[in-house]
Amino acid sequence: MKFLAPSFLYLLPLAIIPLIIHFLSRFRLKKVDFSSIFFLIDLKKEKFNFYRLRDIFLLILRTFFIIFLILSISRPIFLSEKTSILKFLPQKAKPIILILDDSYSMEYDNNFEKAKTILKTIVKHLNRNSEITLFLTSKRKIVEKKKPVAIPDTLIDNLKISYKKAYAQEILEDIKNFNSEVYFITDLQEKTYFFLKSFKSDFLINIIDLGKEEFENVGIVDFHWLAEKKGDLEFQIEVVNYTSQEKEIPVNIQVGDFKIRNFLILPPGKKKFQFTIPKMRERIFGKIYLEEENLKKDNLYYFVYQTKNRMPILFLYENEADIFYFKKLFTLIKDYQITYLPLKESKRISFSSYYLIFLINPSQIDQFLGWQLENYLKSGGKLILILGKDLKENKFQKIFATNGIWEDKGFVTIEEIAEEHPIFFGFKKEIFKEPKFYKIVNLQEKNLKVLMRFNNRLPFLLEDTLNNLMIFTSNFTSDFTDMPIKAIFLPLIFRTIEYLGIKEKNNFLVGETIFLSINLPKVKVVTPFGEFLEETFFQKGKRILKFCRTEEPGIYQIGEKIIAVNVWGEEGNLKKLTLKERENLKIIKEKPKLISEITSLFIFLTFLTFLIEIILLIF
Amino acid sequence: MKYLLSKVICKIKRLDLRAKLVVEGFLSGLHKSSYKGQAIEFADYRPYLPGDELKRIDWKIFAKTDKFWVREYEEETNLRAYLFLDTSGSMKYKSKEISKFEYASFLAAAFAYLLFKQHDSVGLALFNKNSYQYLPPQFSKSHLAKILEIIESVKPEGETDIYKSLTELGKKIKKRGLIIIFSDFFDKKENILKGLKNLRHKKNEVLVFHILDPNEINLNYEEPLIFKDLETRREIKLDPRSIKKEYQETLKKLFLYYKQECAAHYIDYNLIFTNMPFDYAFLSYLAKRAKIK
Repeated sequence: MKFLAPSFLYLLPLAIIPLIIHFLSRFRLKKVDFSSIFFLIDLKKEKFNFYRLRDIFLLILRTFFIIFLILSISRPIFLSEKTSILKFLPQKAKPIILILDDSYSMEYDNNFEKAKTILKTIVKHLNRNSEITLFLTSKRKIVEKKKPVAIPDTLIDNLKISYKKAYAQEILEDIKNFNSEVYFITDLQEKTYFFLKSFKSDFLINIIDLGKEEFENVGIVDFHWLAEKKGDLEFQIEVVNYTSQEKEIPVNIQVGDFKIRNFLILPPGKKKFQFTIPKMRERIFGKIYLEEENLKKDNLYYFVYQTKNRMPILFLYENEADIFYFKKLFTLIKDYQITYLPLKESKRISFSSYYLIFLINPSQIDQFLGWQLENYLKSGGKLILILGKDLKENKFQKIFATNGIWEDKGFVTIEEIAEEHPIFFGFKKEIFKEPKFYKIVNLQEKNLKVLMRFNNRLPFLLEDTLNNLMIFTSNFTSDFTDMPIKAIFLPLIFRTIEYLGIKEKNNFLVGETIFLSINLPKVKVVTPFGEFLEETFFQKGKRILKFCRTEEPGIYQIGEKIIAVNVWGEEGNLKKLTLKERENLKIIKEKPKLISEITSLFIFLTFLTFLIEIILLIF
Repeated sequence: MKYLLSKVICKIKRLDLRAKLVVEGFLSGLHKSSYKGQAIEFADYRPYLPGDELKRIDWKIFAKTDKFWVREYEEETNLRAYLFLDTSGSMKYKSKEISKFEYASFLAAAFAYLLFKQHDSVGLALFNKNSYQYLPPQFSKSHLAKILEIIESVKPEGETDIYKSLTELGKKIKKRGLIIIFSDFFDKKENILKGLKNLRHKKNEVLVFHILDPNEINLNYEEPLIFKDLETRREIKLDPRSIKKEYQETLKKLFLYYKQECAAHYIDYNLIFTNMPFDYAFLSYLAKRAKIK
């Protein structure tokens, strides 16, 4: 027997109150004067004490009365594998919430089919008055408040795996305030269900755990284009071998007619691999996949590469000197369409016609400029901010704030770089140590990711991934640094531009909604599962397409635009929550036990004990 | 008639007043007062007090001593009554306002007053196992006052030995008369009967008032208790509910036994509870008095 409100069980010691009173009164008998005990003595010897027996019975009744009362408010439930027992218990219609994990990790070991069988068993065994709501973790509500008879086996049989990310946490958070019985059939993957370690709920979540402690799988968890623009395209994938043995697995890359097959040697754990494909067009798309049998969707990654031909870039500056080295630089690189504009003239132009803006050494980011930049970033623009002045008060205070200028007799050099970042791929670390910095802006990091750091621990390059914003904390002039005359300057600026340039959102996860600015009333969308004609809508004077049906991984063509939709790679990690992490969860192994709340039975017993006591006292 | 209720009477402090109220109340209820004394005998002299009737002054004494002396007379009656009052510890018992002894003493005092009003001589005997106090019967106001004073001053204590007490008191009675006994009779029933028979054997008329508290028969206790004997101070742990029925049966049998045995020996047996009005006892007495006449 379990309890839905177990905290009331702490009141159970109160059940000994009648016992205490009884024993105290036995040890402290009241003394009364009586005229003569002559007759009493004789009768006492003869008489069997029925009343003492009655008192003991009353004592037991009172104790049970308290116990039953406390158990009633603790809302006991009865778990059984057999429905026959439940039939005899008083039951009332109670909301039942069934959650089925339909994430693609459930394909492993045929778990999804097993889960459907279990689900059918549960539905069959539930009280016929129960109201059932069935969720899939892909956040689809299949059934809402229906009786078990309204859920035929065929409905469950027709359920399919979803390639969307599991939204189990949101579902559980949504329902946790309702008084309901929850059955959750899942594989308890660590990556998806980490929140269950500390999930607090007033009701019991019955988890039917289908996950395996031991599993075999290999999957692609990350994909990057490497920001190099000379000839061929390079990309990097991160592959995880979840087994404990090294594996040799064939890998295929397919871009149109171009196909290559290779072999990857995968030691246990993560490993990164780089591949080169010829840059056939400005826009290419294809897929890379591993030939492995366990979970197939995480072996596959769709990609799209799209460069901007003569990417329009705006340089906003206050002093001509600040753009001296940039001007020199862009005389060498002709790939971009560069505009230089003094900051004071920025009010007369529209930022949206530029793909990238360099804001160089502004003395302030006032309300208007802040608003302009904010809108620009919101609409997908990219900003590189080069600081040279203390900008304590600025419009981006939520993102960053400065804390004065660092200046010393000596200089600092770059010591730490985030080697994982695509900007730095292929560079030797030493090359970054060459430039000297005499002055730097002391920046408070806040929510920014530091990509480069000086040897005095202050940051040099920071990234705000959400807003497509990158910040350099040193101006590229001779009084700040000698970097512009070092070998690293050109590739660093070039890679930064390319990184932001290809960062156009053409990669989505299954289930994500795609918003695109398309200047047409209707757009044809070609997906792996069919073609749709979608209507656009107006928002702030622009026609926007909202496309939600990213249901399967693949290449989606929306109008002229190509989008790659992939599964969430981490779903392929079938590692379960550890035994300790699962401690708090009510996990049902194999055969699910069915719950019946038996509060009414205990209320009846409480009333019965009370009634018997009253009858005994009267007679 | 309210003065015939024990709960009303016990609120009055002075015993003489209580007795008067009880008797007057009773008599006014009966609407008759036909009892008269038959003859008057000289009893004693006492100094004259203002208010005394002048005809009662003995002028011969005045001539001899030059002081006023008043003659006192003892009224000669047709009945000698002996009031036997049990003063053993068990008589202290009370479950409500009035104890058995208080009830018995009110009754005894009331009887003394009634008998006095009827010009009968009244004697008093107080007894328990170890001692007794005896006041021979007389008819005078001062004797009545003395009886009332003794009754008022006595406190119930000690054990009961009815046979011994009645036997010894019986020896004291020189002239036969009406013996009225007030007791709870907590003793061996055979001894009690033996004692009563002894009194009866001497040609005395015996009127028994068996006084009990209602709770002594009802045993209205709802929990296990320690019962302490008021006479012997012995204690017993007991759940009264467990023996209540048998106890009541035993007492009923006992009362029947007393009633039958007393009737067999022409003894009037009256079971009285302390919650009963006093007139019940008086009516029993009047019935007895009528028989004697």
